[in-house]
Order: sequence, then structure tokens, then C-alpha cells
Amino acid sequence: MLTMGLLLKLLFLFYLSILSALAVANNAISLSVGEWSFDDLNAKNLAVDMMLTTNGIAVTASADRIDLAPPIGVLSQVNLQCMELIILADKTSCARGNIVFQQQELGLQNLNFEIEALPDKDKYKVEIDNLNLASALFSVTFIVKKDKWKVFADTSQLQLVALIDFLQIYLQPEQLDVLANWTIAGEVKLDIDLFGQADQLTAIELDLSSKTLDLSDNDGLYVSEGLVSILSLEAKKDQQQWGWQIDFSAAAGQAYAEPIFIDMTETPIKLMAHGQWQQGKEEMILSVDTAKFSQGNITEIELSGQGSLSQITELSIDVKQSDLATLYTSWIQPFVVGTALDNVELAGHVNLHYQQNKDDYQLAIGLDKVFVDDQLQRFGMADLSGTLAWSNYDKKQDVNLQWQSAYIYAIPLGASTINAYTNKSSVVLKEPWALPILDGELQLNAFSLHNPGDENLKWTFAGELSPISMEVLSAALDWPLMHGKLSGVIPSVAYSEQEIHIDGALKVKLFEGITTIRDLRLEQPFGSLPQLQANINMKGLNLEILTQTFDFGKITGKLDGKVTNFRLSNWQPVNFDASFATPEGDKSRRKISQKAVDNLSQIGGGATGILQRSFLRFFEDFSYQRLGLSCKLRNDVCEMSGVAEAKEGYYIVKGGGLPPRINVVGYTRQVDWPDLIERLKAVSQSSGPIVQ
Amino acid sequence: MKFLRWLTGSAAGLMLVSCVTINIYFPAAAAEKAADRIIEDVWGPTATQPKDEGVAPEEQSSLQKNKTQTIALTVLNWLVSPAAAEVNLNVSSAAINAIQDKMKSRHASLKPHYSSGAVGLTENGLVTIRDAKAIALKDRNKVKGLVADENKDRNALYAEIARANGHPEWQADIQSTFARRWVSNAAPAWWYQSDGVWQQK
Repeated sequence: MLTMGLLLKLLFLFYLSILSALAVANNAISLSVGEWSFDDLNAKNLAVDMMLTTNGIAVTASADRIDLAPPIGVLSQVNLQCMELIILADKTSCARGNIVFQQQELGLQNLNFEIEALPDKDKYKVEIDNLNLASALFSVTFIVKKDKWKVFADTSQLQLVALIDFLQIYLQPEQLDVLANWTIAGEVKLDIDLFGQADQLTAIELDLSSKTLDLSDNDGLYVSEGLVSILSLEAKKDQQQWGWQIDFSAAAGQAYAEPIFIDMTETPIKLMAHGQWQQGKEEMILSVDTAKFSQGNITEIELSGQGSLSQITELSIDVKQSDLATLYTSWIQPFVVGTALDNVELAGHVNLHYQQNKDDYQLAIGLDKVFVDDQLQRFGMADLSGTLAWSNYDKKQDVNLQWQSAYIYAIPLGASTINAYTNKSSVVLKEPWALPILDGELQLNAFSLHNPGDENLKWTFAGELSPISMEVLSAALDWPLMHGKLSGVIPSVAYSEQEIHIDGALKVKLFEGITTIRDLRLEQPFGSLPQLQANINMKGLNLEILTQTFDFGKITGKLDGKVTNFRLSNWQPVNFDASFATPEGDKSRRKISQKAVDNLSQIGGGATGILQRSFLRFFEDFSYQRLGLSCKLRNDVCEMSGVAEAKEGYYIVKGGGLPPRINVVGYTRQVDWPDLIERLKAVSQSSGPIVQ
Repeated sequence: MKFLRWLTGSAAGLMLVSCVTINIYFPAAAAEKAADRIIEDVWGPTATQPKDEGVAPEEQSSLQKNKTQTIALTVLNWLVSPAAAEVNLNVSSAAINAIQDKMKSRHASLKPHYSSGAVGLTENGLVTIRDAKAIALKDRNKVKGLVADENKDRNALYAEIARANGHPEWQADIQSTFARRWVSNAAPAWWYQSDGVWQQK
């Protein structure tokens, strides 16, 4: 507008001088004026030359200095040419015009222009070429008709660094502060059309394409590098609101908006949207009628909604059926860094629907034949399908999930179905959920989960464990083959603050005895070092079966045991007070074989094969009164003792009953735990002493 | 009067006139040695340079600060046999070794980012992204993940050392010991935080 006003004014100036000159009626006129003022225009050393040509009048004019009203101010070294000036009653025009001048902000300008004025119709048109702004050459056209106006401007090459430099003097301090937080470089092609009426802007059409665009905020949270993109924006004012339409595509370059990274060269993105923008009571309100976003073959998202900066009033997001593996890498994994889901392999398809109304929202995720496998082999699921839903307000939605198989650590889980519903930030089971574990089953009766949104996820259930064979379990856990059944009633299992508590006792029938596990607690089950704590009590174990299981050498009799302060860190024992001994007043037949004696002495740190070297090798087994061993594990050291104190040592086996009797006395009080484990392994692997 | 003032004003005096509960103090020297062992294993010998710039002996026990306190210490040693207060710090268990191995293998990926200044050592014995711009765009999330995992392991390590030694309440002391030792052992040009300000070794 600034340049247009200037040109119209200058044109008027020459028009006046021509009118006065015409009176002279010669075919060439020269006019010089020392100083001349008109309206708010003041010219110094003005010289005008005019010549009549076949195309009209050719005018050249120069002035040392022309003072104009702000914002133009002073022009110096002004040289103007208009090779085809035509002045008619209803039309004045100037073709092949050129003006050269120097101005403080615009610098030296050398513009080509054409002007057409139809005063009767109140219509004016100015075309300018070669306008040099921010080191870029612009073509600008101004059209004014009555109180309506249009401005078309374009440039084929605009350096953003130069643009920002140029804008410095025109921007408000607040805007400069915002700009100071960004590093912006790149080259764009710009085509902008503005439409208006009186002093109001009524429409904008913008086409912007970047050949390369490098953006970065100072914190590096929003960055683009080498972005090749095309943006087309149309906005039109209708009453008090603006209708807008945007079309954006990026086909090369990289972008990062914490925590999302997109490589457009690999997966080009497209965004098409339209909506409205209006001034609300306090804030600007943005409405999106529809927005369609697509990223290569990864995903397609549709969005609509309304809101202001401070509040979303309505929002609906649909993620179309997408391949989970590719979606996970770019859109899910970045949000779950550091959680158990950070490092999983995925396959299958997923879709999502999200609906929000002010603070109430609901979410439904459709899963289709999903396969999940934790890279650290902590959990996995195969063929998972169904709907996972969540709502944070009073809106019931069904949750149905079924899968073919799953695992947690080394324990395989069978096919199962969950039927539940979500409401008010909770998930509650509709019917008991049966989860097959090995050859048994965990039945969950009253599962409920609550997540108020902070990190305070809680869940509880009560259940029943129907018998799992220890043979299968020990095989799965790579333990020595054990016999018996694992079963029990689980009064209450609760998870909160990254900790699983089991209230009540878990009873396991093992080796014909009863093992009771109490105070079971599992902290950070999927953390760096899962911590398991428990107190365990064993009653009436049949030693014959136990020793058979571990191939230890036959011992008959009963055994009671107690393990307190038991703690596994990363599933490795790091702390416990364990003691095992023949129960007081045991009435069973108590015999110990040669091999078992040998093995027990080995564990106690003694030499092997003592028996074979003595006359005792002729006896196959020996009677004993009591046997037992205890180990207090701290700091990788096992503090050992037995059933009774002996001279400088402790009895592991105290002989009794009918001869031959035998005592096994341990002398090593402190045993390195890894050594002890090695010894135990050696025991179960050795074939035992050879009895000759 | 003067004597009484001296008596109540000095630590020794306090000990003579009041009932004293002796707690096992945190074995700072042992903790530092233990931390150095772990750090050397995790970072390898290239990162670790001098060992001794960190802790002067007075940091090991605040009781040695002045003359009165020396007297107090003597009395204390007389009252309690030094052995009772001399605690060793064990840093070897299956769990600690497992976590140490994880950190060691992760270090190969983190090391270039320490050197570039992208990742720095914090005052509380953890690591953080100091300058995201020093990381290639496509790697930013990966490094964020590495940092999160490293911090999870470091926290678990401090907790586990405390627990393994039967003093879960030592976790904070162990963490601050490690914080100092990570910095002391850091290679030249690595960044660390000191009083909230980033500094370069």
C-alpha cells in the first residue's frame, strides 16, 4: 500500500505539471523548480522533461529529494520515467514506467511500473516489478475499485534470514522476543493475494513452497531440517468469523516435534483441513470442520473439533486401521520411552477413536490380530484382538479382548477372553476371567482397575489358582523336576505404586507337605531390578520324594523348613534366613544313604569319598536322629549352621537309632553363595559315590 | 561455670552428660571405593582418569572437623569399639552384577553423547540431556530412551547396594557418593552439573 500511495502521488504531481506544460504546446518541454510543495509533498530541485511521441507523452523527471508524509518519509535521488503517458478525459495511464530512488528502509530501489487510473469509475491499478524487499525481488499489483482493493504479491526466491532481518524494525517487542527463541533459515517461494474493503482485510490466499527450510527453537524441541514443503492457505472473512482452508504437504526433509520424529523423505506427510476462526468472548476460537492427516503408508488420521488455547470444547480423532509395527515406531514408542512398552516387537493392525467434550473423554482402540513380544522376553501375546476402551466420565463402554497365547517371563499362558467395561477411569470385569497357566488356571473373580490419570495406577483382584502340576512348572522354569501340585485361594492381590501385594497365604502342596507363602510382594515387576519378597513355611515334606527329585541320594523321613526375609532381586536370591530340619518328634523312618551323606558333606565344605575309604562303605544306608541345615544369606555370603552345635562345628546329620550311625559335622561357617550354588549343581549332576 | 559451659558446649561434654545412641555411620570411604570400582567397570579405563581429586579425608567423617571433635571421637572410640562402627560396603551380588552389565553395555551407546555434550552428569548421580541440538534429529528419541534406561538402572543400583548391605536408608548417601565419583571419573570435555550450573571437565 505504501508504494502504491507513493506512485499515485507522484503520478498526480506529474499530471499537474503536464497540465501546466501542455499550455505551452511545444513537442518538448523542460521544467525545473527549485522547491515545490503540494499537499503533504515537498520536492527539491525538481526537473521534468516531456516529449510527445506516437504512443503518447514520454516523461522523465528527477528530484534531489522528495519529502512525503510518513510512513514513506524522505526519498532521495529520485529518477522517474514514464515512456507512454496517456491522459484522456476518463483514463490516465502510464506504461513502461521506471522509478529509481533511495529510501532509508527500502534502500535503493529500481522499479518498473505501470499505472492505470479510471477516475470516473473510481478504479486504479498499479503494477510494480522488481521491488526489492529483504534481498528478494517482488512483483506487486495493486487494484483499487471504489472502497475495495486487492494486492497480489509474489517472489520466486525469498531467503528467510534476510526476511527476518528486514522485519526487525516493523515488529513489536513481544514479536521480537518470540523470534529470538527461534533459528530460522531457508528459502521459500511466496505468492500472496490480499483482498480488502476500506481498512478491513477480507480474504487471504497464500501459496508458499519451501525448497529448504531449517527451523529450530532454542531448546531443540521443534526442529525441521531441509524441509521441502508446499503450503496453500485460503482464508475469507464472513461476518465476524474467518473461514479457512489449508493444504500442506512435505515430501523431503526431516522434522522433530518432541517426541515425534518424521523423515518426510521416507514417509511424506499431507494435511488438508478447513474450518473457522473467530473472536470469542475472551479468546480466539478455532473450529476444525475436518482435518485429514496422512503419513506415507503409516497412518491416516481424521480430526475435527473446536477450542481455544485454554480449553478444548470438542475434539474427535479417528486413526484409521493402521499397521501397528510402523505406527509404533513413529507414534507410540516415543511416548513410552522408559516404560515396559519401550522395547517391544509388534505386528497386527490397530485403529483408534477418541472423543472429547470439555474435560470428559472416551477412547476406544480396536486391535486386530496383534502380536506383542517384549525384546527382553518379559511378556508377550499372540493373536490379540478386540476392543480396549477407556472413559474418564460416566460413560460405559465395553472392553473385550481375546488372545490365543501369551507369556509372562518363562510362564506360558493360554488362550483367554476378557469381558469387562470401562466407566469413570476404571475397568471392571463383567464376568470372571479365566487365565490358563500351564496345565492349571488362574480364575480372577473381582478384577478392577482404576487410573485417575496421574501415575497412580491401581488394580486388585481376588482369585483362585486351580492345580498346576509342579512337573510342568519346574520344566517351564528350568528347575529340577518336581512333583506335586500348586494350587490355592488368592484372597486379594493388589497393585499400586508399582508394587504387587498378595494378602493372605498362598498354599502349595509340594513333596507331600504343605508350603505356605505369606507376605508376598513384588515391586517394579517390569523395572530394572524386580524385587520379590516373601516369607515361606514348609511343613511335613517327604524327604524321600524331595531327594529323588533333586537326585541327591536317598534320604527318608520328614522335613520342615522356614525361609524368612526372602528377597529375590532380578529373580536372584539376595537375602534370606532359611532353616530346614527334621521336625521335633518325627515318627517316620529316618535313613540316609551313602550318596546323600557324601553330598551333604560336600555342601558343608567337606571332602567327598570319605565313606568309601572307610569300612562304612559296606553299609548302604545309615539311621539318623535329626538332620538339618540352615543358611542366612547376606551379601552373597551364606552363614551356615546345622541342627546342633558340635565341637568347633555344627551337626548337619546327627546319628541315632540302630547302628550303623553316622554324624555329619560341618566346619565351614561362611560359604560364598555362588560357590554353594556351584556345589549344589555339582551334587545334582554327580552320579554319586561308587560303592564297592 | 566456665567448665560447665565448656562441658555442654563441646561434643565431648554432650556425650558425658547425656545418653548417647551410636548409629553406624555411613561408610563414606568404603562407598567411594565401591563406587569407583563400579564406575571403572561401567565406563572402562579410558573414561576414568585420576582417582584422588575427589574426596579429602575430612569428608569421610564430619567428626574430625576440629579439636573438640577430635576429643569427641576419641571418647567415642573408647565408648564404642571402632570395629562396631567400621562397616564395609559390599557391592557384589547377582542383582548388582546384572545391572552393572546392563549399564556397561549401554555405555558404548551413551559415550559419544557424553563427549559431544549432548548428555551431561547431574548433581544427583543421574544423567540428563543437556543439549538436544548436539544429537542428530533421528537419534533424539533413542538418546532420550538411553537416558531414561540409564537413570532407571542407576536408581535401581543405588537402592540395591543400600538394600544388599542391610541399610535401605543409605540409598541417598550412596547416590550422592556416586554423584561425586561419576564426576571425578568423567573423561575430559564431559559435562557435569555443579550447583545447578553446567561445567565442562
